[in-house]
Amino acid sequence: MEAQPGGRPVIAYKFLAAGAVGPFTAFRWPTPGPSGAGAWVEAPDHRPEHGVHACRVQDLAFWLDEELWRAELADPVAEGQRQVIGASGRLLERVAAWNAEAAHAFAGACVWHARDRCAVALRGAGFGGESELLAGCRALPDLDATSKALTSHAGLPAALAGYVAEAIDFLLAGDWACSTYICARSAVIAGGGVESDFAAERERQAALLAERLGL
Amino acid sequence: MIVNPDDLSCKELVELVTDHVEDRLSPSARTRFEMHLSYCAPCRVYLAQMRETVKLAGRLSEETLPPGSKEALLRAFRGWKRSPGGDP
Repeated sequence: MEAQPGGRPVIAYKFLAAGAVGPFTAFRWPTPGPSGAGAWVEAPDHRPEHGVHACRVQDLAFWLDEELWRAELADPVAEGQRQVIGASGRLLERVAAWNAEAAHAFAGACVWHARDRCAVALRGAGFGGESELLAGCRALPDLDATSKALTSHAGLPAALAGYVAEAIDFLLAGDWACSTYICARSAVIAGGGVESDFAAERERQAALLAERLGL
Repeated sequence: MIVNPDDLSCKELVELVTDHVEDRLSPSARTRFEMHLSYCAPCRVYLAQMRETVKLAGRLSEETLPPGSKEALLRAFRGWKRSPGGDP
């Protein structure tokens, strides 16, 4: 990780569990009050990896959670894997547009995109009939039934339809984070096993999220 | 579902959870651990349970054990070590 040059604060985003709780540490973040931003939180020690973690817009989809906050990180800020890490940080404001309804709608959009990608992959692989069946679905119950039916086929149609069906199952169960993960995994299979397609799809999801939330 | 070879499986996460709670993971292992948690609800529940267990167990001392409990526990552990297949 390299420290960011200069002393300017970095504005980033932080996904938290309900109640502004850190999902991995169970730390309850001080939230902004009437007088402004939340209190600064210092890293527990001076090890770089122990700083305050947040992420940039392009990495949002890797860290989905119930609440999304705009955060300020104080210098020095280091680049980590799909995250930025500051010596201290504070919450500036909650992104109000990210709520349960928006999360469900976002995951639904990811499912439909996975459907599109899988249909294209099937057509390209010579499975025109199966591709048409997926592409012809217009509502989620229809796509759910069609994808599940296709899992009884052999080979690629069953594999790709299985991802779509599973993503729908998690979406309908309310686990939208896992649903979007499965959608991103389906991109790897649809692309012929190119592992980098997963990260590319996560970044595409992040771009969609940023657009929807006006980030 | 075929997972990313760089992703942790749930089984691997379970094996690493103590190191995470005790802050002994390398930065890259910690990131992989936490990325898994971001989409795996059951593993998040497991981590929360572990944290709670550590918190509650941290309040216990030998002096807080009810009378006879220490002897009963020692007997159980000694018997467990002697029994066939008792190795952890």
